[in-house]
Amino acid sequence: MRLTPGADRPDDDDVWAALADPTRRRLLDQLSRDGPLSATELAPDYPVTRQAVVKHLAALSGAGLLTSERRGRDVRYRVVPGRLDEAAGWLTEVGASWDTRLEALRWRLEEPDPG
Amino acid sequence: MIRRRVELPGGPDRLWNELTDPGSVSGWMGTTVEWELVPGAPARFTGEDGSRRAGLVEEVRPGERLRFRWWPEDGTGQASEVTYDLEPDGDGTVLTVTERPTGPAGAAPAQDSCSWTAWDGRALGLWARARVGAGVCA
Repeated sequence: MRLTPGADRPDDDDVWAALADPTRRRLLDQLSRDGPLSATELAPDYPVTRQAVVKHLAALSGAGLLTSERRGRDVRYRVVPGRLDEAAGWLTEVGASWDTRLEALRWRLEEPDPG
Repeated sequence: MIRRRVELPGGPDRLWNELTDPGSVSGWMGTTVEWELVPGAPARFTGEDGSRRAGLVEEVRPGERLRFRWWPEDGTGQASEVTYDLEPDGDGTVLTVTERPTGPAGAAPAQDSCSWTAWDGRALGLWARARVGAGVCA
């Protein structure tokens, strides 16, 4: 068994670009649930060619969201949880900021209009 | 992507003023803002903790929609795009805030290259070109 991690330290924009595609999000979902799986095992569940699935897996790997391991002729993919956590961290932080801001905004608007 | 949808008292005009007038924004946003409400104009945000963000105004439809991008001025962290959508609802207004990451603050995202050559210093260049009507984005 040989481990082939993705690029050393992929940029965050790769992560968001990778996550922007619904097929890739579905692949990520499935792999985090049922992984590791190969492109051949994954492909029948998707309305795209196996080749397209391979491309999506490459994009996810390039973003550091997946690692792959080769077993004989098969390359199987698994999720790298840390990368998703970073994205989730952004969502949590930004979401909390808006909750605070919108609460303050409501307070202001509940005061009578000075105009 | 973050999305928040809230019903707020008052009509869209009053809400628009709260969302855009620098004197009002500092009262709820936790940051001051300097901007001109013109697509392509640069913006600057200074947080209560002194953190600074640069930005770019993208779309201005008074009482309906404001869209801007912002990113930490020191080039760390995420750049993102914020959209305010306002819809009148009875005596109040429904505000939908959307914020979506567009890439690391230090680099321009590959997609959307037309409107987004504008990073910090470059935002001024885009702004200047927009001002002379040189059709930055055909």
